[in-house]
Amino acid sequence: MSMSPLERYRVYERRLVRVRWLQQGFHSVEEDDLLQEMEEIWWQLSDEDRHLLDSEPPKSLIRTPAEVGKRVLKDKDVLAHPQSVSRTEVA
Amino acid sequence: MYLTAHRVFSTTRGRQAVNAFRYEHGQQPIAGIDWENPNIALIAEAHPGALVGDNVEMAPGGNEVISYLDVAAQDGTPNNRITDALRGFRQRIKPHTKTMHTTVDAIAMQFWVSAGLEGQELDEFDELSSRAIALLDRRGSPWRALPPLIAVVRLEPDGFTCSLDPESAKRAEASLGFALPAERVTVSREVESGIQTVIDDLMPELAHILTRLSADKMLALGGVRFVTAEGRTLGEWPARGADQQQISP
Repeated sequence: MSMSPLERYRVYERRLVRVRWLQQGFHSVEEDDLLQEMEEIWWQLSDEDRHLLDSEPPKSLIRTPAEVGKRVLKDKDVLAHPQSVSRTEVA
Repeated sequence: MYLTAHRVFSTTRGRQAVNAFRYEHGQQPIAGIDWENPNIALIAEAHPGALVGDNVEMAPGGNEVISYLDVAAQDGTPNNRITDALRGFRQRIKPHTKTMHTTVDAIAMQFWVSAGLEGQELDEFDELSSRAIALLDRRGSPWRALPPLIAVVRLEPDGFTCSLDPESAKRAEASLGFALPAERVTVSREVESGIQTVIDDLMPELAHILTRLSADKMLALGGVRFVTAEGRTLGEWPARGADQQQISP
């Protein structure tokens, strides 16, 4: 069963959210590839679909300003210190 | 037993990976821990136990943790009880929830995802839980099966020097894809602290200077061990638990 352009766009949008989260805002080739695919699909969408997508809030923000600096966890080198906790919260 | 899987992001490497660790606690009671109802936060933050197994994709230490799944249960809890508990926990995870914890059948679990993955928390749970479950079936670590690179520390009249032994240099070069210069690090007598202190404090830096390898590549070769010319171990990364003997400068 083939997907409509809007359904395909949603799939790529979901992947984009994950790739951006995984890369924590750092550039990646995978993100570029997804954006290119999404752009191609964009021009296949109806005006209604585009309007629908434009009216939705952005989904791929890494952190809202309120969340920045709230909680950062860093991992510890447990291979050097095998009885150490594996992570710690830093300000 | 404490089992944890982290997804970590390294800003210096610009990439992410999943690392999983398995700890055990032994038979001695630990203040504040009731294995019938384990306090998972206390175990994760203060009493992880002793590391007995790991599956590391990216060398730990200073990476940002962007999600984690923790499991705590008494040592020896059957694997099927743990996997059943994780399956039950999964069913309770709601999209757009960043933190969840529960205790089922004396197995405590907690799951956390940093901001930005809204709506895909279950996918992340599945990935972390598969990494954690993979560690249930085995102790040990892939790097333990490999002999470490050997850096030889030699006392000199004016201090000491470190250099890779020829076999280790060959292994490092094979990983790097180019020939290493005949690198020798000299620490002069003017350094007040003894050899052991210098090795303890500067082991990662010394290892990198000698091998030119990233921590990840070093780990893939079994890590590095600093030994005296007589073969006594001064330090190693990762720690293998062997007795380390001290020498004076």
